[in-house]
Amino acid sequence: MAAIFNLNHPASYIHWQFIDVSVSNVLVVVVMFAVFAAAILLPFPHGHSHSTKDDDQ
Amino acid sequence: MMTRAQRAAEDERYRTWKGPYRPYDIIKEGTIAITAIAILVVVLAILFSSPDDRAVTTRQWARTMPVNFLQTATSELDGTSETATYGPPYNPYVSDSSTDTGAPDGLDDYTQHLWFIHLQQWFGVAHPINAAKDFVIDPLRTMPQQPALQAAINRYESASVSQQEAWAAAYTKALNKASVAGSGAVSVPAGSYGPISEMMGELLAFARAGGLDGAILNSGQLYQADYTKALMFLADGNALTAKAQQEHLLGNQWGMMNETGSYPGQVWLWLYTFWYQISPFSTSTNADIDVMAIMTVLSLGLVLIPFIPGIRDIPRRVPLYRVIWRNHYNSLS
Repeated sequence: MAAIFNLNHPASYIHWQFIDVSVSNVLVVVVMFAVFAAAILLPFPHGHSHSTKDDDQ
Repeated sequence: MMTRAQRAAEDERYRTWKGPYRPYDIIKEGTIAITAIAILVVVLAILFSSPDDRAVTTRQWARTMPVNFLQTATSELDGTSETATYGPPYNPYVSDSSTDTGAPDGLDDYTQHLWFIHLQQWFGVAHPINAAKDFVIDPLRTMPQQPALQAAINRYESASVSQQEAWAAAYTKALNKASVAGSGAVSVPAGSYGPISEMMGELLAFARAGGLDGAILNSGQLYQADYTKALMFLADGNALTAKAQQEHLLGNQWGMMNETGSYPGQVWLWLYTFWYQISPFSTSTNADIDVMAIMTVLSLGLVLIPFIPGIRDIPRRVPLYRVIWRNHYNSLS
């Protein structure tokens, strides 16, 4: 079955000095950093349902 | 920094928890995580599918680069190809005066090694490849009803090694002046090639018809799952290299972390492939074992972080955990 977005075509690459990274790899790294930042900054779900002092958020 | 006594006191204090408890359902959390990941996998598969590059075959190679195919096949026959001279794990390396350093351990410095560690020689010939037999003679022997060809092979095999080398050298030289007909047949100027010209002509025709792929893969087993020989033969020629270069998959193109097409690849291998891009590893014949050693040391460092002074104190100096548990620490203050 054909994909909605066909990625079977030549990739674009970012060159800097000796570094050579595909745009898709860079996007994955950016998404990983975004997920990491979100995991730190977003409040815990249902954090206020427990009223103990040592509870998390 | 905590003293040993302070740490022991803290361990003792937490041995029996006297503070409050909160409910935590790990089954619920695990189910949610697995469900979310499964949904994500299905959605991404529908949106992007997966890499679907056609396999590179000797048939394709023989059709697009017939002269290079013949040059490679001749080098397999006379034992000068990269596979034929690789050494372990494919064939025993025969040292000569140019590579034997006369090391006291009796091991040859040609193979990859690090100090006294000669992994390549220690593991030996685990996957034997006889380049001439596996890539040329045996496949030609499988062609039925070809008495002239079988006679040519017999003539080649019964000739002396020096005669075989002379025929192969003359044919290799002649291939530099080869011309390719519209049918794909390769012609070389007349010369003393013995039976090699006929053998190579038949091998090219066999490959162009698609028979050589199966003949090289044939291991006598019901299922063929070992592609090593076919891949090594392809790697000795230019077709696979050209394809890999086009897809940014070569070692000097950070290829280890790339994928075919525009798909993201193995990003987590960035540090492994990084070493191959810089000197001295980029030009070293010992690069594999050197990089393996560096990555082993770095991986041990990662595992041993809790025991490395300075590194283990980073959370105290960069208290990221206070951001994660900010409500707790705000309530304390």
